[in-house]
Amino acid sequence: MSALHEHVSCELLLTNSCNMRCGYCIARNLPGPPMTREIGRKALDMFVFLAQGAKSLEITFTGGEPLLEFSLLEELTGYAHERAHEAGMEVSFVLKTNGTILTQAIVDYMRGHCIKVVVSIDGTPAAHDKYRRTAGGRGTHKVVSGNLLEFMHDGVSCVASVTVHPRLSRMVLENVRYLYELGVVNIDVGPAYGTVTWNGN
Amino acid sequence: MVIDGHALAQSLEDVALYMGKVNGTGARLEVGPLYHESEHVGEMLSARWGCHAASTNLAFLPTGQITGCSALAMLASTFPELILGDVSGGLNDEAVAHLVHVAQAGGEDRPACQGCQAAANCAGGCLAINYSTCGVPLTPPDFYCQTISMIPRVWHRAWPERMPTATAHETAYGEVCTD
Repeated sequence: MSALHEHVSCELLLTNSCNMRCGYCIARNLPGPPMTREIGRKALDMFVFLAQGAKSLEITFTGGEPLLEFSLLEELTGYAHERAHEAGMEVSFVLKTNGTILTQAIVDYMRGHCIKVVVSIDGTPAAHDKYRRTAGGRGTHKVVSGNLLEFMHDGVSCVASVTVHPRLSRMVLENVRYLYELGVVNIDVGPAYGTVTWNGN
Repeated sequence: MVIDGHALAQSLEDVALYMGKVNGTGARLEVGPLYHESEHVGEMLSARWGCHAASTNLAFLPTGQITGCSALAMLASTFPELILGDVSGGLNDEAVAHLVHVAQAGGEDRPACQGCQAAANCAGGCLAINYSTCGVPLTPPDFYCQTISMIPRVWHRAWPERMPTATAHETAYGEVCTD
């Protein structure tokens, strides 16, 4: 990263922990404690230093499930604002979440800090609940779709992230249509990989 | 046997047609990878194509270790060369140079892509997908090629006003790995 680029980005994996056990997750066996505030600050210091010359920064909070560490997210958002301001750069934020954790404080924070929220939701209840389950094996569609709607209704910019398992590769349109009819107008579709087999090669 | 990669590519075409229908009403529906500003539609929008790992993007793990992106972070225990350094010791220049090299390798370094008509606007695949399915950075899996090569063919159906001179073209794949 250098002054050659006007726009640079970094991702902060706040934790490897997750409250879900999705069937195709490539990160499900990663161990370890969450990021400390000290490491988070050092990461941002390094990122801003390396980004010297850039005009804008994008910082993505991800994991694991980053909302398990919401207080750390708040702390690092504030710190990133400070460092970016000192360096004369614009900064924007993205949160990638499984959509199962929501409080009014979280909604207010995302809206207040213009944080774009990317919610993992695979489409219809049947498609979503086939792989996106809790540690106890329960489907999560009802909770996730409800929380996504709450984010959107409260004015938070949202993207639905759809992961396509090979077994559902013929149902993408059905799932896109479902999400659009739910009110989602930004949808990101990507394949599951690493833990699944795409046949026919 | 139904080929999953073909099914996904066909689904993408169906989604493009649906997007065109929605967007034709004056509404706005963006579905990636058929973004309005997609990098995979030939020379017209090619400014953003390619893998940005270690060039314009870094990922910081909870431990303070650094990789080129969060997807590559998931693979670092299997492929330790993906660790580029840490927040205390800084970046390993050699590891960064290697990752940038494979992320931005041209066609001459990607034998699997030679002969593929989609190579001009496909940067050789997603490194994380390549590593996790083929075990190497420069060989993409078949399902990825089938999907990505469909984009230039169907994108104009999602955004007909955006590409008046669009020309659909058939794609011949180069050699790809089996996952």
